[in-house]
Amino acid sequence: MTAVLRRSFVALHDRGFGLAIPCEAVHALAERRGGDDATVPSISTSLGLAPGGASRGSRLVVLGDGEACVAFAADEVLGVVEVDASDVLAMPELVRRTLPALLSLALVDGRSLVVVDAEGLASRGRSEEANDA
Amino acid sequence: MSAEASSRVVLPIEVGPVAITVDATAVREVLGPVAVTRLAGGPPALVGVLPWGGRAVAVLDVSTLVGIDEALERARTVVLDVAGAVVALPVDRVREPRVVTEERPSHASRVAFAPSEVDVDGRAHPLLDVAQWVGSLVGASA
Repeated sequence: MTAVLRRSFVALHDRGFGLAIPCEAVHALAERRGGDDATVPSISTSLGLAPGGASRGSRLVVLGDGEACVAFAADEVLGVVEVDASDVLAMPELVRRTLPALLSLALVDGRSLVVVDAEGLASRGRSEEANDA
Repeated sequence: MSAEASSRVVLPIEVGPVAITVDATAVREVLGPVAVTRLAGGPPALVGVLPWGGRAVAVLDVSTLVGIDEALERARTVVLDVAGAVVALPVDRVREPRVVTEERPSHASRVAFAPSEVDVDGRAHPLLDVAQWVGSLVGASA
């Protein structure tokens, strides 16, 4: 019997992009309330996929640990998905070189989600927070 | 003999009203319409990725070269391997491959990365140099 390696991701949608974040990188998920800080960046904007501007995302995805946590807004959290490691495809060189925050393509029930570099994203988020402070 | 040596097989494709050709020896597969995972923020021509043959391949939009409106959903998708880089081009129509024996510099082509042209059914078609195009996209990011 062959063991099948599986990976778990938090699947989400933001501004028309289907994204996947490795579960181990996600500290928390939360609803975004009306009075919450409007400066929380959109995850797709932080990845360079979407133009800037105020985010209307209703969910918060918190990455990192402890005081190093950083939050991003997303339109919708689809849930946790498990994917065979063989269904996580490395991005082609052109994508790796031009959009380095996008690591791979995860095939989930006939659709594809872009796996993001959560560590790099959190690091960028912390830098942006420091610059805004 | 010399004509044979200089012959080339091209695949005529159409994107909107624009008819061009690509080197047929680089074509790995012609698919129907496929679901493209959209990307943005990179070079304008890089519009997404799709799974093909157990790997993710970049989807490039030919319409960015010919100055027509972008449309991700096109009826056919041509998968090409150019110097080890596999890319997919959504197109509206794919015609039968043709053997062409005359290739000449293209002076009036409206299509970028098409330095030469060939005749298909008596009409000049730009010959898209996909390797040069892909190379420019990678080079621009360096």
